[in-house]
Amino acid sequence: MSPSGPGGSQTTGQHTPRAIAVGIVVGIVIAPAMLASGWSGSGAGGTWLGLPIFGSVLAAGLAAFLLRIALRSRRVGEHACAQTLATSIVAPGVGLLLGVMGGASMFEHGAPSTRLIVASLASVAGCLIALSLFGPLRRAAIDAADLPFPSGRAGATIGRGGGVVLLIATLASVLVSLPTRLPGIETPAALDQLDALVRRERLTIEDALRTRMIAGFADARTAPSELAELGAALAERADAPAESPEHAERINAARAAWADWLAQNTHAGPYHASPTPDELALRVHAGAWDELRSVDAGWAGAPLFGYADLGVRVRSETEADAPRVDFAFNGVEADAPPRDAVLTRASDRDHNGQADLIVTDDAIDVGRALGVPSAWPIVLAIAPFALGAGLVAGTRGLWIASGGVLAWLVLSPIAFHLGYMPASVRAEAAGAWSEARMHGPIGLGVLLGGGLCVAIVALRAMTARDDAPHGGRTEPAKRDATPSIVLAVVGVLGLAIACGMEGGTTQGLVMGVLGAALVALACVVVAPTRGLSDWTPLVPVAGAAGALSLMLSGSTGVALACACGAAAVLTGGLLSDGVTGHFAGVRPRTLRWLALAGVVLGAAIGLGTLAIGADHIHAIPARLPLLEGAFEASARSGQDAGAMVVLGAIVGGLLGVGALAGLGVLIGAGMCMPIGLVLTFTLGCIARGITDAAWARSTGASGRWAVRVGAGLMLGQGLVELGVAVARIALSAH
Amino acid sequence: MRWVGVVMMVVGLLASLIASASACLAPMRLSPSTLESLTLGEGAGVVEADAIERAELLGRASRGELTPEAALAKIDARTPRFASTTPDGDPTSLTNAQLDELRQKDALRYLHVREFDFTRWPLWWAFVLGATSLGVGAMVVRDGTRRTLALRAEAQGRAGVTSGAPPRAGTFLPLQAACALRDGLARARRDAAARDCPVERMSALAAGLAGLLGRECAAFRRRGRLVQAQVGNAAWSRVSGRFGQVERTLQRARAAAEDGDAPGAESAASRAAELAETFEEELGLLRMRLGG
Repeated sequence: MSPSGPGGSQTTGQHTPRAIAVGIVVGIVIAPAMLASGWSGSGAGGTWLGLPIFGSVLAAGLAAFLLRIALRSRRVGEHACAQTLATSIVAPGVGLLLGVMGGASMFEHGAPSTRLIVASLASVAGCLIALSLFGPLRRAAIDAADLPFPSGRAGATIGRGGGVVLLIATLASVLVSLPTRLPGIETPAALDQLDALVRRERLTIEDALRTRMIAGFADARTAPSELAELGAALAERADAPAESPEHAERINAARAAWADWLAQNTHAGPYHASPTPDELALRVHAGAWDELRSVDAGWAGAPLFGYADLGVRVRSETEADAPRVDFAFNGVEADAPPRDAVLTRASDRDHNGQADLIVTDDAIDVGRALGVPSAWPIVLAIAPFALGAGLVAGTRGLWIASGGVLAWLVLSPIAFHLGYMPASVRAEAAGAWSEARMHGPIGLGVLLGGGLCVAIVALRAMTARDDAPHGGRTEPAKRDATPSIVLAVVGVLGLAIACGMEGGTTQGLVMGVLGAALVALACVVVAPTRGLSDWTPLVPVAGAAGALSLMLSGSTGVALACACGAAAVLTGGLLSDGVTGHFAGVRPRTLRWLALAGVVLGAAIGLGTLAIGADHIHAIPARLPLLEGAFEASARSGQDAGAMVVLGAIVGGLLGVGALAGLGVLIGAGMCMPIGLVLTFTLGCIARGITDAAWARSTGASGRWAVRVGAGLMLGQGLVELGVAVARIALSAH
Repeated sequence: MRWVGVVMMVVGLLASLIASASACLAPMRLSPSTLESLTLGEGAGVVEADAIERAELLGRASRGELTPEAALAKIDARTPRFASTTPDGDPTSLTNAQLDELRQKDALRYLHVREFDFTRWPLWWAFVLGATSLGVGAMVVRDGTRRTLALRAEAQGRAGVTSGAPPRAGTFLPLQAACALRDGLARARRDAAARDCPVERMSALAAGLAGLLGRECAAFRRRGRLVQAQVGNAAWSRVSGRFGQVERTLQRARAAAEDGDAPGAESAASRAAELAETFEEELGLLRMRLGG
């Protein structure tokens, strides 16, 4: 980079008003998008909470755009400050998301408004505890362990411009990522599209049948009285100030009558299994016939192009002896013989009459393409972000990858073959079953046990004064101590108050103190995981908090889950930003104060977004419920399989006894990751290893290229995620 | 010896994980009264709704062999065969008849349950053996690694002396790096100061600092584990912290120089020089403490 000349500013500008303004603008763009879209799924056997993961890279990209192009500033310090402020705004939003959606599915105690306040308070409290630990964690993870923090290095590369390589990699990533997320945008399907959509497995036969039925109502501008009656009952409940048992009774009776009508008049039991949404009944009752053609009312949605539309399938093999069936059962004449051939289980696992897809929207089933036995799921997620993270992490990332491989390709198949799974579990479902009930809880334990080990080693190193050159802590550590203690005390108090609001004063105090310890452990666990793979183990961490809450209180736990979730996200983001800041020469305490401001602002933005969006809660994209499911499953499995968690913790602790104190955390984190992402990340790590070995390592050229390409891949997917989130919000508002 | 430790760790890890996976299993050979007293794990007895079976049932309904309601009832009855929880969410147990069905029809060997009992745990011995092997192997690996790294650090330190490291650093590897860093910084500042044009001065400083960061700092980071093995964990946390401070200040100076901010760059470079000097002094003290 060439100097801009002596005419520039005479100060080493970092947290300038310009940087702060850009940070706030970028945070305001990212945080509501995350809250509204929230959940990014991966069909490769698992899920990631999307935008918080992309937070640092996205903030880096958007801040670079605003600063470098719009404001003509090339100061890397300004860029790092803006990035930190923006990502810190996101963290409390994650806590709110967990509280409002995830917590709601498990803890039904309290009114929604109280839960929102509890979630906000707990999220901010968790963030304060995380901020109090930023100093020691930064010194341990960035200074001492020199972890790569892929998105942090990517942010630094983006902040410095990155050059043509970064631009090309970003464009390539956008092109590859778009078809993975475009199917998330749906428009009402045309009637003549329905059969084609069913053939492409975009719709089920039931969806098509239901859509044709709704089209019939809309054309005739009339509908069965049973449906209208259901709509009337629902409307009456919506208008009433409080729900009464009579409302519930009337609605249940109307639902039963409508189900009977469906079963008797359409020969279409499928409707019974897949009931029409309440919105259809409400619109019929209101006579809004032109508004029936809406996905909200049960009309089938036609997704935009995705990789699944390429139709790459396994070879179709027919079951010779099986009698033919009618997959498209839709009330055909009684004497019409069934015509559809039954495919073998090997080519049609879901028995929907079509050979299974090898390439889905976001994954490639390499194992099936190569004929690997079903119990070994070899799936690659179409996730340039994971590939980029692997490229930046290099061969050190293989520690995490080994945990995933151990869980999915060793432990799960062995458990299946030893008969540890119910007889109803098929080989192809063994991995998913094990993730939910076997290697998932064990991995959670290994993660927590490894985290304890890291915490003990770090504490020993920090308190071993006798060996120090001057017999004590370094100056920065001393300077950090007072604000850290203040932040921690305020955080613990806030958490105790939040827990107290849920379950009473005594329980609040106990949960507050225990919860603070768990939040601290979550932060310790996140540091090496994020450092090596860029993955924040949010669901395991929040799940562990949920399980602990369930065990201690039985009914309350929103506060603890929110605090842990927000703290985990903030720690991950802040450490990544710490690396960006390190390469820009920004003082860590500057980053911490910016993060504190971001947390407070983020909580306000989160509450505001939810308040504005309250009327559109039904329009929240469909993937959000996945968060509830994942969070609940993680907490329930942690509670049910408590023994496995404890045994895993012993294993995790023992792993840390070896040469690498964080080994337990790394293996445990890998065990909790979805296999598709693990394998894609592994490919990136191996690719970096090969290029390092092939290229002259001493010049560092290989590393610089890998970081630029990796940064571009991460930024590209982040931009696609953000773009799709914004498009979905716009469509739902429309 | 280290490889023996690695093998023990891998074998121990596998054994203990597989044994952990069996912790929530109850063998079907246990007495019916014991099995009946257990609560089922999540997902117990779940049977997938099969599309072919569904199509067959609905086809029969369309041919009048079954009423639609009866077909639907049959389909609904398939999922799950036994629920692990009641509609109220309470956990359930199996009846004796269901246990018989599982033994005979499914030839099931284990039940997945919620309760843990050491006496019922089929592979407790494998866990104990595996955990022992893992722990012992980990300690062997730790000692072996520490010894190997310390020897390598010594060797690299000696090699450093012959390849031109400042004599004041001796064979102490981190001190060699600190001296190289301090000398490199002084050289970069001197080279920059020799330029008359302010733009050239900043360019030279930025280039010098970039070279220093890419060469000396990167080398120190690459040798981090060797240094850690040489000085121990506690001292390493301070050494690395001080090094991080120096590196960050150098980055700040470089950023300011690239931005053309001469006062900022010179102030940061001067601060970096002070920190590098302190760093070198502290490492000298550490070398004395370690008896090097």
